Amino acid sequence: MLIEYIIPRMDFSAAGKASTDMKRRLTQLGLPVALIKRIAIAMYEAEMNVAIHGDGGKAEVEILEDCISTRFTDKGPGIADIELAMQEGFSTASEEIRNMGFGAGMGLPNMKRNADELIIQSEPGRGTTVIMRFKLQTGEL
Amino acid sequence: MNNKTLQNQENNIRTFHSVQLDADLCVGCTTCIKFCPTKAIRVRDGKAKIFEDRCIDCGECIRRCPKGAKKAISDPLFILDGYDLKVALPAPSLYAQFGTRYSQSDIFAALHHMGFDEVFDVAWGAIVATEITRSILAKPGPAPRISSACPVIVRLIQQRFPSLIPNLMPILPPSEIAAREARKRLSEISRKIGIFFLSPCTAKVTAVRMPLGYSQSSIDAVISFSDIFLPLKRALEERKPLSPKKGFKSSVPQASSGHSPILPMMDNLEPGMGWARSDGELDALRIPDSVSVDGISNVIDLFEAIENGNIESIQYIEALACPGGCVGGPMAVENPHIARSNMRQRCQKDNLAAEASSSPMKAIKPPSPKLPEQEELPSYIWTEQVSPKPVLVLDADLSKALEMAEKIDTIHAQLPGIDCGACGAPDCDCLAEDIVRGFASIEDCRLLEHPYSKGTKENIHSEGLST
Repeated sequence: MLIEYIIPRMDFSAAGKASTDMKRRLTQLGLPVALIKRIAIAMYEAEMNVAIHGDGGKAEVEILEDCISTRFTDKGPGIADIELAMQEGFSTASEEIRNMGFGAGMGLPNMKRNADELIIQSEPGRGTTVIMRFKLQTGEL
Repeated sequence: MNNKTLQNQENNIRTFHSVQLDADLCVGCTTCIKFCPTKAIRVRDGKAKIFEDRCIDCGECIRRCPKGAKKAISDPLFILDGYDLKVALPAPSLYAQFGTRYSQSDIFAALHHMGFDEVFDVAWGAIVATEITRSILAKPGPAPRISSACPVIVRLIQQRFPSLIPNLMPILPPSEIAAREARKRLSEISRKIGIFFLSPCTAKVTAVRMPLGYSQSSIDAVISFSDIFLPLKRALEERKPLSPKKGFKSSVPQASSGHSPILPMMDNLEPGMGWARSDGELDALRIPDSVSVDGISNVIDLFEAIENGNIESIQYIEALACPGGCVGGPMAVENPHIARSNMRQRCQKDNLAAEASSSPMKAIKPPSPKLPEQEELPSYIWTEQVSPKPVLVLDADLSKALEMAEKIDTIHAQLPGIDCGACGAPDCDCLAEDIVRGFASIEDCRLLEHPYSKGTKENIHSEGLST
């Protein structure tokens, strides 16, 4: 099944809606608790990125029996150096955003840690697409 | 057929719940279904029905029902008659039901006066739980740790936030710790001992019958504040009348069987007494980076945020389902705000008294409650694992569950989406789920045939304006 979420720009009160809704859906499906937790954390980080850096955008989630794929798309400024952006502590967030407790430079590293596969496509000026895949592993509780 | 399915589900899961419906008073108004945090209530045939496997006994529906049709079932007072030696375990919030006119010792004596042979404060158990919490927090573990003192929170996590089960403090609730200690201290007595927890909490009634984290409760019965309030108030006034009659002699505490109490009244219980209100557990614990949250919907918001991973550097969470903490319990009598203030004044008064007595000469400090030895503390740790309760799972088979989830989305897309509740389910999403599970049918939606906006407007114009 395919689910789509709109992620509004800079709307901190709405941020986390997609991951919270997804958590509810995955719980209904009876997926392992640890897997749901990984997905919730990774999706939340991606959502925040789209809201803060990407000028808003959307999230699409496809749930299959053996794999959950997520795609986050925005039309924001894009990422100039993806390798640099992946480094822990690196952030381009403004002072204002940092003062709100975000922009610690842990978003992408956290997504990489929790997803089984992470693909980032970006071009300066043309926005960013982040794809994360989560596999249903046997043995994960 | 739908009702039959519902019936079958109820028969399969025969469990005890303190929260019950008085069908005679229920008018089927759908207020309760909107506020139930686990979406455990539906209105069927004009009456509310509680899904027993989903109810966590929080008592929110008792608070919200405008007709008083939701009841808390606790043990009746006459249950005391079945025991030779009656022990009262007052929850700290019992003291908050009364203003400071009545001291701790007044209430203690009044409990004796009304027939309890022994009184042992649950606040003692709270102080022990604080000690254990401190020792567990000193060791590395999942963060943030979550207090398990509120039985509703343990059940909420088990059902809706299973990933947080490892974060729960594996400690017996203060009432249970106090009950075990009382039983131990009275072990010399050969008569039949009955331990009665005086409580404002519906979920504690359930927890005593069906404990989580431990197998058998040491508490024999739970008496609600609402049942004990009047007799206790009478006993208090008999001993300390508002307008003392001439020659009045306060009656001697009278135990039912001429038994002279073994368990002493303890001083310095304030840190445990504070647990009656939100923040109290944290005030006793005094550790940095701790958060207190009360009111079930606030708790749910915080837990969602924790699961999303965006709550950092918090070590400990005191989470209480009732607004204001236990003083806001569904079976409490006094207004929760007044009770909260009563509790604060009580603790301040005690502190002032202690200061006054010790300041000039720094003389004798009142004896602190004797705590158990360090090696005894592990006996107050959970002995059983709390496992997730997968009541929300559509089907154990993933492909079948996925198929059902697709159907729910398809049905949901056809529903009006205004969550009016007229069908008896709290929202359109829930109705869609109920239909797919076989508990409801699409006919239950009252607005499907008459699109909400157009239909009503026309009616108002043609009927409302012409007459």
